Amino acid sequence: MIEMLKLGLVLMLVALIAAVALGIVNSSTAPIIAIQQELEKQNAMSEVAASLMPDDSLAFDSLSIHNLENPYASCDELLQVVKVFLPPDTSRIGYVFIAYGKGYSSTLQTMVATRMDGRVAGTIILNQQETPGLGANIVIPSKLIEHLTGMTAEECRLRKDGGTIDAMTGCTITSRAVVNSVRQGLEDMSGAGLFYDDITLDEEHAEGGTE
Amino acid sequence: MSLMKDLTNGIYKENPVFKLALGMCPFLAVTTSVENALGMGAAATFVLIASNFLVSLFRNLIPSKVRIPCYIVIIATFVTLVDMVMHAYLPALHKSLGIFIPLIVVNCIILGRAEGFANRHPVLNSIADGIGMGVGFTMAMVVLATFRELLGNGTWLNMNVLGSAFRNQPLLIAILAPGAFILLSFIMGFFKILETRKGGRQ
Amino acid sequence: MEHKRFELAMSPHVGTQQSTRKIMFDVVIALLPALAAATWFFGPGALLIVALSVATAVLAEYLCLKFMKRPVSFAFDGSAIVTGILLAYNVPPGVPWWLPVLGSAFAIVVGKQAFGGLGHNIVNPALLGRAFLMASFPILMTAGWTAPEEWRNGQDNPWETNGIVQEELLEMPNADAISGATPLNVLKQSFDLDKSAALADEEGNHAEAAELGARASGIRHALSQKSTYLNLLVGRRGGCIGETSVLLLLAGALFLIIRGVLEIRLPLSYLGTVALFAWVFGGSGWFNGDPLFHVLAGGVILGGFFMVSDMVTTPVTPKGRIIFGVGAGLLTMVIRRWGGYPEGCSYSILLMNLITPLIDRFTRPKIFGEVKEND
Repeated sequence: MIEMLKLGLVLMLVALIAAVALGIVNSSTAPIIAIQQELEKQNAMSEVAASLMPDDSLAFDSLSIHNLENPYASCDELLQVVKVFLPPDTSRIGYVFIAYGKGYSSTLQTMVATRMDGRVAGTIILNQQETPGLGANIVIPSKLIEHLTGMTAEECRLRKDGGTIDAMTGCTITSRAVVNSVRQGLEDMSGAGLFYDDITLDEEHAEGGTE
Repeated sequence: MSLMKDLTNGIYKENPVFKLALGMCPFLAVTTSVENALGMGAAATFVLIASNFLVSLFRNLIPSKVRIPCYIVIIATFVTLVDMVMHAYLPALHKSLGIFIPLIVVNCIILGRAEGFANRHPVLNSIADGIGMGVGFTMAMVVLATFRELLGNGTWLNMNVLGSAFRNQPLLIAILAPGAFILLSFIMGFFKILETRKGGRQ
Repeated sequence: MEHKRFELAMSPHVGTQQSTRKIMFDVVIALLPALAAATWFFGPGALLIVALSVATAVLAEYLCLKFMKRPVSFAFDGSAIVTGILLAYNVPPGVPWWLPVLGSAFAIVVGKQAFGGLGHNIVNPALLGRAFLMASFPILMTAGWTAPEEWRNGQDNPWETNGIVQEELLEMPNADAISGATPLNVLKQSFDLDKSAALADEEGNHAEAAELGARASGIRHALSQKSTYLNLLVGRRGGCIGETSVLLLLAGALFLIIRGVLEIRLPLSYLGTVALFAWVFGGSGWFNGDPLFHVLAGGVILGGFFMVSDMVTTPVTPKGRIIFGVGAGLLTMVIRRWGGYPEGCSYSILLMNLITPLIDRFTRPKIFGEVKEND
């Protein structure tokens, strides 16, 4: 009995020391990690938004859009849309959103910049773990990504699915994941009335409370 | 003298991968590029040295009945430390090593050395052993990663070595999982031949 | 080496070397008619691919045996020739010349000699070589199709057919047109359209769904016009080099059966399963598939008679052989119908090769008078 207690005490001591050490390191690295991730996201947004307007001083403001469930993306989150504007002017020149599509071996995260008329301006793949040399080639500025530029939701479809975009040979699943997730995002945004044709409300109202 | 022996032991004579066949999971998984191999090697070496040091330091204090849980806590702590520090200061490497950093916890080399060496050797020897094993593990990974990156991508440490004609049609399988197993078996076979030749001469 | 450490001679566990030779050359003879068909439909380029593949296989076998200090006479027992031919038969006719060389060398070195030579290999070396090529060069291996007889009415110089196809591929890796040339590829595309139609239907775009569905059935209709049973039998269709002419493959198989080399259980259970499965699940509904199309199109005739029936890598017991054939047939059809590839013949055989020892173990006949062990 005494021995059991002693052993337990030793284990507790070891765990306690470990926990304290981790806590100290975590408190000093956590803010850096947060800054790092924010910076990464900002860089990606600036990169993709440059296709809307090549200007370093573009600013972003996230919109809260509700009731935008995305049944075909493998991500339960609501669509996160960011409005792009050029300060000091606060009127929006386009949007950036992230599309999630289930590919061959991973969920592809595609960041898309769209113009106000609902056309794609630029696309980058944020995250993917597809087969190296095949699906992973989608991150190399591929013809497929180039082809997406200028597409509306209706046009954004693989040739095999009745559209005009050629899938990358040997990786239809990856290509389809990107194209379909982008289309889904465009459709959802259009459904929320974010594009010019649909905008009937005045600016402030449509933004649903963000300042 | 014996310190020197402990240091070099892990590099060739008891190379954790090629001779002891330990740590195969990270070895096969992250060797798709030399960069990843070096990053993983550095992280694993750090954890190995630190855990060997602590285990050896407290080898007389830790009751033998609970030594394995204690080792695991020590190792897990250091792995988490590496994970956090890497995430904060080397985000690109952290992203490409992904899940394999937390998996250092279950790397058999580290627990193996804690149990098999550090808990019955003095501190300095244990550190030497940790360095040797870590370097041996890193070297083994760099060897395999060299083959895989060269054949599967035409590059070495992201430098274009084999020319763009090769890069258009590389030997993709080398960078995929089966290629890792096939190349590993060839490298192990090569060491076996070396050993047999050496044994024959004696 | 000054002295031999082992006095034991390693040998394949098949009778005498004489009979291995005989069997292998029978198989080579049985495979030759299909080569004639391949040359007729795909041009001399196909012949060149087969020749290169065979030469590499024999050379690789010779060098391996030399390196391992084994009798080099094994290199000429004909088994390397069979592996070389089968590998070449399993690649598209439009591949560049170095592809079969690489595949053939891999098949022999890794697939056969690394395991200890003929009789010790766990999987069919030729199919392993093909799997290696598929993993390494997926674009060339899934898009290097040439249309039958194209070389005689299209290209000026038939020897350049290979080069042209390859250049097109490298220049426009997104080209969809080239990759749709085999009957099974076309069928797969129509099923893909069906899937998109179902998706569109779910989304509520009924007009679009109807249009996609109509396109899918249009493709299937065109396929049935172009790939008639006659065309498939004769071999006038796109596909791998060796799978073109069903008639000539069957002639070769008949020769092997007469010579007593081919055991009929394996091919029959394999092809029977493929046909049954195709009838039940192959169509867009139930029980309206086209079994004959699924047997004639693709590589199951070649696979069924020349690769499922490989002696080394398939079970030895009669019951085991039937299990093997049924299992391979099921896997083939599952891959064709629901998998990512249009054809599943080679992977199904490779997978079944791996569990061959297990099948043998469980179908081992009871020795007369043997008492069941208590377990």
